Amino acid sequence: MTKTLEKYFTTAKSSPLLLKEDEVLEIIKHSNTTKHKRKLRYIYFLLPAVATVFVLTIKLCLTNQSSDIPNVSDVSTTPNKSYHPTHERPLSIATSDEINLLSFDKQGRNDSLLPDISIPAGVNTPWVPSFSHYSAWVPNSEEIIPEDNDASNDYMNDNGELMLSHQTLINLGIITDGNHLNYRVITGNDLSIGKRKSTDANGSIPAFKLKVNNSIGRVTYNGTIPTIDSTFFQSFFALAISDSSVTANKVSNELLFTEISFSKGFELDYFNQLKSMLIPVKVILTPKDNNSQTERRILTFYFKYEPSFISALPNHLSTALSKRYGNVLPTSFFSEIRNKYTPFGITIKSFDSLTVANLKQLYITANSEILEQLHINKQSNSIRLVFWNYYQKHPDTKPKLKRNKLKSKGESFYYNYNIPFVLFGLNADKKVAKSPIAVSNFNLTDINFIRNINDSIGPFMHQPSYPYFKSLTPNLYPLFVDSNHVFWYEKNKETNYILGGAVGNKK
Amino acid sequence: MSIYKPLHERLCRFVQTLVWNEEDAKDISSEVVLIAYEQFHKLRDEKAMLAYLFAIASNLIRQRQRKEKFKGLFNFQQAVNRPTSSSGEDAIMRYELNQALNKLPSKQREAIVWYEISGLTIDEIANIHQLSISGVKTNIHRARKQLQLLLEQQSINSKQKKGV
Repeated sequence: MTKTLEKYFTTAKSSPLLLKEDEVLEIIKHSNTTKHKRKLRYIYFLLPAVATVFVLTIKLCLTNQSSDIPNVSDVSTTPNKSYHPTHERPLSIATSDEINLLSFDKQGRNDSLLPDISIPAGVNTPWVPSFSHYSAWVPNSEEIIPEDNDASNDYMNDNGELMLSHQTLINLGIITDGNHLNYRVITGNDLSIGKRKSTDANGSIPAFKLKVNNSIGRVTYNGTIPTIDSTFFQSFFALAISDSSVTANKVSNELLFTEISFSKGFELDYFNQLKSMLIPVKVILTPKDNNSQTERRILTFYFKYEPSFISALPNHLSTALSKRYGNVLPTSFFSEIRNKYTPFGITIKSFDSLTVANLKQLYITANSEILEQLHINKQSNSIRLVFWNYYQKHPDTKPKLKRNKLKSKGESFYYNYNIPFVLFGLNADKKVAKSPIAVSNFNLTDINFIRNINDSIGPFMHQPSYPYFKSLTPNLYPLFVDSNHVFWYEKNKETNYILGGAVGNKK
Repeated sequence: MSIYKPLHERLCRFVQTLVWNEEDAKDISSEVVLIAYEQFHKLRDEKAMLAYLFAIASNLIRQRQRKEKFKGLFNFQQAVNRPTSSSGEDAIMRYELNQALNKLPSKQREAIVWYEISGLTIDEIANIHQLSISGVKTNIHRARKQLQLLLEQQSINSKQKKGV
C-alpha cells in the first residue's frame, strides 16, 4: 500500500465521530418516540397520496352516476337522443319473398323470378289469395238481402270476397257507363269458354249478361253487356282477373294480368307478393244466349287494398273491410313493390291488350318475311320469348358477345354486336318447351332494320295508348306486333340492346 | 448497549467515510442503531452483532446511493458540502477518498473500508459478505489498486485546476 493511500486512510480514521455514544443512548431511550416519529413521517408523506386517491374515487363514482341518469341539459341539447326509431318501428308488411326481391341486377332483373310459367287450363290458380286466417265478417242476413241496383246491397261473403251491386261495379270501373263490362277490354280477346266461340256469325262480339249476385245466390243485377268499351283505363283498376269458366263438371281458371302484363313474366311473383293485400271482387257472368246456371262465367277482379279502391265502395263495406283486413295501405306501397318487378328498372305503366290489339290492327304485323329477316323461324303461333336467363342456365351455349363502341353526340357507349335471342315454343298446356325453337343473333343491320320498323309506326302515336309507350321512351322501342306477341327492344347504355316481349293468348 | 459499545466507533467510521454529508451520515448511523435495537431480540447470537450492524449499515448506504442517482448529474447538496481550502487538508483528503471509494464496486468498497478504516478482520468481512477469505482478500487488493489510481488521477486533476 502506498504512503499516499495510507495517508488517506489515516486521515479518515482520525476524523471525529459524528455520532457520539451519548447520542446513541438517547436514540435508544427514545426509540419508541423515534419509531412514532418515523411512522408519522410516513403518514405525512402518504397522506396526500391517499387523500388524492380518495377524492378521485369519489369523483369517478359521481361521474358514473350522473351519466346513468339523464339530466335536463342532456335532453335539451340532444332532443332526439331518447327516440329510437328502430325500436319503435311500426309493423312491417314485407315478407321474406319481398326481401328476396332485392337481389335484382343493374337492369332490374331477377333471374330467379324469370318465368318458366304457364297457366294450365283446369288448374286452380296458385296465387288466389287465402283469407282463411282472417276473422270472418259475416253480415246479418237482414243486411244482405239485396235489391237490384241498390248500392246498399254490397256485401262481403265468408271468404272475404266482395259481391257488389251494379252501381259499385261502375264505381270500381269494372262496369263503365251503362252495362259495359270492362273485362272485355282488358283481355282484348274474345270471351271464349272452351271451344265455344264467343263471336257470332257476323264476327261481332256477343253480348253477355252481367249478373251480380250475393252469397245466397240471388241475382242482384242481370243486364246485357253489348260491346267492348275502349275507355278501359281508370284512375285505378283491377290488378288481376281470375276468369273461371264454370260448366256442369268443369272449372277452368285463367289469369289475366292487367297492370304489369309486360313485365316479362314476373306477374306470378308479383301477385304472390301482393296476394294478402288484394281484395277479390266477384262478378258472375251468364251468356245472353244461355240462361243455364250451370254454364256461366265467374270473374274475380283483384283490387289493391288502397285508398282509391276504398273510396269507390259504400261506407258500410269499407268499414267491414277495415275490420277484416285492417287499415288501408298507401298507394306508394304497391308501387314500390311493383317497381321491383318491372324490367330494366323502369316503371312501366300498364300495357294492356287493347294496345296490342291496336298495334295489330293499325300498324305492324310480324309476318313471316319480317321474322325471316330477323332470323327467326316462326314455327308456331305459340312462341315465347325467353331472354338472357337461357344463357345463364346454359352457359355452354353462350356465344361470345362482340363489343362495339359507338359515338353519338359526343357520348360513347358500348353495345353488343351479337344479341342472343331465343324463342321457345309453348306446348298445348301453354308450358314453355324445354328446347328453344329458334336461337338467333341480331346484328347491327338487324337493329337498323328494327329502327326502321320503329319509324314506320308513326300513326301509333295518335292512339290513346301511346302515352304508355311514350313513358318508356327513349329507351324502349316497340319492335313488332302480331296477333299474339309484342316485342320490343331497349337501348341501354350498359347492356346495350335488350330484347323483350310478351305473349298473348293462344288463338 | 454493552454489545454495541465496542462497535460504535467502527460503525461510525464506516458510515462517515462512505457518506460525505454529515447529516446523512449521522442519520444512517442513528438508523442502524435503532434498527439493531428494535430487532435485537431476533438476534440469536450476540457474536453476530458486528455482522448484523455492518450489514444494516451497508444496506442503508446503498439505499441512499440509489436515491442519490435520481437527483441527477448535479448534486446540489454534495456541491454545498464540498470542502474548500478553508476546511483544512484533512477534510479535502477525506472528501477525495470518499469520491474515490464511491467509484468502486460495492463489495470492494465495503471490504477496503471495513478492513482499513473500521478495522474489521478478513474473517469478519468474509462473514458479512458471505465470501471466502481469499475472495475478500482479492476484493481488498483490487480495491486498493483501483483506489490508488483514482486518487492519483484526482490529485492530477486538482493540480491542473490549481495551475489554471
